[in-house]
Amino acid sequence: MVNIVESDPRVSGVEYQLSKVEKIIVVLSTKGGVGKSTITALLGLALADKGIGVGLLDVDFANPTLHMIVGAPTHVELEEVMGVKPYRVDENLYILSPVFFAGDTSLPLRGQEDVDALLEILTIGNWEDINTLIIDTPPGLGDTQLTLFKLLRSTAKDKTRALAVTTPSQLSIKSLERSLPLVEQLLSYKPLVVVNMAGPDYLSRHIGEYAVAGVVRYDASLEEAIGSLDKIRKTKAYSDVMGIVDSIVRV
Amino acid sequence: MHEAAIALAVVREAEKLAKTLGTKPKLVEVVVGELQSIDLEVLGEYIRMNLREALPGVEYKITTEPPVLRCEQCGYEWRLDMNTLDPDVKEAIHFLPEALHAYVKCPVCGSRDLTVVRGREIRVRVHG
Ligand SMILES: Nc1ncnc2c1ncn2[C@@H]1O[C@H](COP(=O)(O)OP(=O)(O)OP(=O)(O)O)[C@@H](O)[C@H]1O
Ligand SMILES: [Mg+2]
Ligand SMILES: [Zn+2]
Repeated sequence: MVNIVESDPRVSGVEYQLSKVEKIIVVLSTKGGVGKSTITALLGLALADKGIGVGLLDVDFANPTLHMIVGAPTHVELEEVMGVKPYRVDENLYILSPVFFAGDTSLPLRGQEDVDALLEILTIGNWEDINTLIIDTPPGLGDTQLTLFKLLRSTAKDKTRALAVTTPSQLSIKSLERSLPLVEQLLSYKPLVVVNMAGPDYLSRHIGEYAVAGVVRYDASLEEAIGSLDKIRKTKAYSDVMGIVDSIVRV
Repeated sequence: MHEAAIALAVVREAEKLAKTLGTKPKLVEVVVGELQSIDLEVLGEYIRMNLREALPGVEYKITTEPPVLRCEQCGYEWRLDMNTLDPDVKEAIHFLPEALHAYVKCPVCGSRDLTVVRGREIRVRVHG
């Protein structure tokens, strides 16, 4: 009798690579342009400045921008050890971006290939010596997000956290209210909310049944700080994030 | 090495698969799409080392699958010759096969809207 079983080894690979980190934070929003990449970078830098080893991963294959914010070049030499080591941008801050492989262009990926790219980058990323991995996702709730949530739930459930970003606009809030119950169910975890680009008087503790972990004010100086960690450290937005870091990672 | 990470994933997966087999595993077959541009000798060596501990006595075999691409704009389908690619491109694709979309164009209409029909994947088969 011929007896053959077959499967894709990458899920096992992802499980192995993610077993190296203590905590994973997925930054998400169904609405675009609300500040996911900015908050990912600020949160990563704030944690790194507290002495924690942080890895940033950009899984926005159509439009990766995280590397720009933290000032990583497009062409880098990555060390090949059990996959690839992320690129170091600061003492405790590392990043892995699709641009390191595909260069500065949009990748025209259809659904399955988007999923393949996600699986691949998670299989090769070696997060050894990293404490907290922060994943910047593209906007929406499609192939990338659904696959990522499923993977994290099956390989790293107990250490996965989700951070939903919104602006104070009711359009963004509505988008969040619609999607968070779904995200919660898919991840088996209640996402935290950060309200970004808020006015000076903005105050809110809850969005629906979800706690607002922090408010980050609109800060016009951020634009000029893109690409320089030292300049970012001087922004109000960075101080705001520094002030809420504990409430985000404690949970 | 990238090959080391893949080999580890392959052997871990083979271990899981072997448990579902119902009979004693005899052979681990690894199907490698050429798009991965993996060094097969290096991969084989890592698999051999890991397999020895995980599933002692089980043989392994690596088979390759040449890449076939399809243009979604004009429908042209062709076999991509990896040797025609620039070494830098090969290196990028080695890490992230989807990076090919940044470099490869349809030879007929020039579109980058391509689908990989075959030759991308890595699959593990455990034979009992
Ligand atoms: N607190 C803030 N104050 C001022 N500008 C901000 C703030 N947060 C983000 N921005 C700016 O808003 C724009 C969108 O931010 P960002 O790219 O981080 O959003 P995103 O959610 O990642 O977008 P996408 O959905 O396209 O991935 C950027 O120009 C960014 O510099
Ligand atoms: Mg973004
Ligand atoms: Zn074509």
